[in-house]
Amino acid sequence: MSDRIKLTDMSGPDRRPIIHLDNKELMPLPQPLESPDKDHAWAVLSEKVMSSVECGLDDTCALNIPQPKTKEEEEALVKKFLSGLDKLFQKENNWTFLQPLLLTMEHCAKCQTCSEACHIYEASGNNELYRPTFRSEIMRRLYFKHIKHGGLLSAFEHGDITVNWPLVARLAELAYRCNLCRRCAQTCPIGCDNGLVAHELRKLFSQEMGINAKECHDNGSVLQLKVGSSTGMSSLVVKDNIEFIDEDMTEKTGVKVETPWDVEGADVLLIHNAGEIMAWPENPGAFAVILNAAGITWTLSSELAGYDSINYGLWYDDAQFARVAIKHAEAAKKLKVKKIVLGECGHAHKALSVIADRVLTGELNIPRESSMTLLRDIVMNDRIKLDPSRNNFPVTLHDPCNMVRLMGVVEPQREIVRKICPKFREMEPHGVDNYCCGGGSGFAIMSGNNFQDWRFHVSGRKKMEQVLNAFADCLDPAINKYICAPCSNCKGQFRDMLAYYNMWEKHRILYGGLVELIVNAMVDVKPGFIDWEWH
Amino acid sequence: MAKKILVVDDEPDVVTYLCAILKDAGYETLEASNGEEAMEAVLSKHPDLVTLDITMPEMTGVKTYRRLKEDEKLKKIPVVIVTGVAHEFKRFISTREQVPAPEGYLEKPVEPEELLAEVKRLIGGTPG
Repeated sequence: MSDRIKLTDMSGPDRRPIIHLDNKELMPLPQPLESPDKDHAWAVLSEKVMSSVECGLDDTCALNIPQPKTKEEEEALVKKFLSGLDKLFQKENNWTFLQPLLLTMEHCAKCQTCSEACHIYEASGNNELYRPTFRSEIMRRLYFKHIKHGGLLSAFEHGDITVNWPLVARLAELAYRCNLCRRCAQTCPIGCDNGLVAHELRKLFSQEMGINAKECHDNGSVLQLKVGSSTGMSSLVVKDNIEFIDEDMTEKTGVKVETPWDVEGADVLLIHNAGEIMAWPENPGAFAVILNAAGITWTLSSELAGYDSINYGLWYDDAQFARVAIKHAEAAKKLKVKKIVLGECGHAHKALSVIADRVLTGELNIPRESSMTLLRDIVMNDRIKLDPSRNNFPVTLHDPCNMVRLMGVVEPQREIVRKICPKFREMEPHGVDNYCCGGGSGFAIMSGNNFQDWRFHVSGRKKMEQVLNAFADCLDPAINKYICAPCSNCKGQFRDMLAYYNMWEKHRILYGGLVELIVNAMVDVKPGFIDWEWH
Repeated sequence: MAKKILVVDDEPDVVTYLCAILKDAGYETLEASNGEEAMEAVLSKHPDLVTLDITMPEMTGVKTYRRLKEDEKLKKIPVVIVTGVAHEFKRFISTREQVPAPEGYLEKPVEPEELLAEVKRLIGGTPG
């Protein structure tokens, strides 16, 4: 393993990475991935990248921050960072998260309970850099030095830190080595939220310095506010796609499928993650089949962002978050629907249901519900006829962090899979103790440079271990297996990671959503809805 | 005689850019800013190839593609989709049962070499 690093290494003037990762040092995986020698080698950052953008943290680079050309430029950037730091601790500028941030700054006992809970730290082979407290300890030192203006005594008590451009650049990257899954926060005996620190740092970098992940900002929330969806699809494109999907579903199920658009006064405005409407067309198709069969009055919206529940601002920028959340609520208000139901997208659940509570007031405070509870009511109240024997293959359930740990939606989806999947088995641990898929907080859409290697080898490693353990008794490729992941971002991570390790080809492990399993078991549709070759 | 390429995109800058690349390589170009204009141009000017944007007002590239490929006479015209839509769209449009996969697919921003390579692959280079 790399030499044990220290906090002060973050301020080191050398632009080279302060740690290196080696497959042999990572947490071992179970069979059939037990041999590090057979694992993929990491792509190496090119000389061009190393000499033009900041890559001083580890062996990857998420943000492509241009290297400043002069000392003056560096100093200006540091000044900006400190100004942003100031704002993070002002009520006027950070009323949303100031209180938990302050509690975290003041009360962390550095007991390291959170480190033991962090899948990234564990998967990395316990590399110091990835401890949740490593990042937050830097923040605490900055807080006591620059916000509380502590002198020598404070530096002695809390530890000192040199603020220079190398530190700031490394800290920006380090904010993107956390999935924001907040398993660390859940386990903290005091109630500190070291996960929030990564979020607040991302916010500082984006809102004050314009530093963010291009995939989340330029190609994400900015595009969504301009075109209507971060996929780049306008409502017209989505409608044309849905027309294709409705026809496919009709053919596949033998039931006429029609997706309603812009129905005023509908009971339910369903908002999908628009990624589903091209990457996993069976998902919106299956929703349509179920809702129509259950007699729900529902609609999609063609308003700007009204057809795309994505809200990437959740992960990096409160202002972008609020702009998108308001668009979602306005779409519902315009249609006078009774409630918004969020499709299978974890971060959209938390964004619009929980966090947006602080933004959506008055007429915009329209009831929001998870599709998990709506589907649970449909399935458990026998509003559609189901034959579990159609799902007679091993199924495990992935818990999207935002929906499960961070919202408490734990049981509805389990009641469904227990009822319709005779060979259901849990991952261990599961529910609120689940592990992130490794794609959380935007990583599932981030593949620049060699970042993909990092998210498969490190952030996704614990989930890969869980999947292999859940299916340890049936890895035989003669048996089709299904990871039910009711979240678009998680599915994106599963798609990429399972492909990376050839899990479909070698072991017939497929992933998909919950509604596909439900339709696959519906008596009134043609058998064989799940397309095992779509992976 | 130079081969004719219809460039369909609602962003004038993109049309100008793609046309300049194609003209420099000796192709003749036609322009359309949405699907309806594109269909008119296809029917009246018989291009040898169409580059097709997806997110456009009035009539999208999805609908335009469908119209082209569902028409017995028009479906032989090769289409290169040139889009800024997320890359998963390629698989979506390529796996619809109603239409064949597009002959070519490029994600924006497009490099001149990749556009010309795709065009050359489908309709050959230009005389001289």
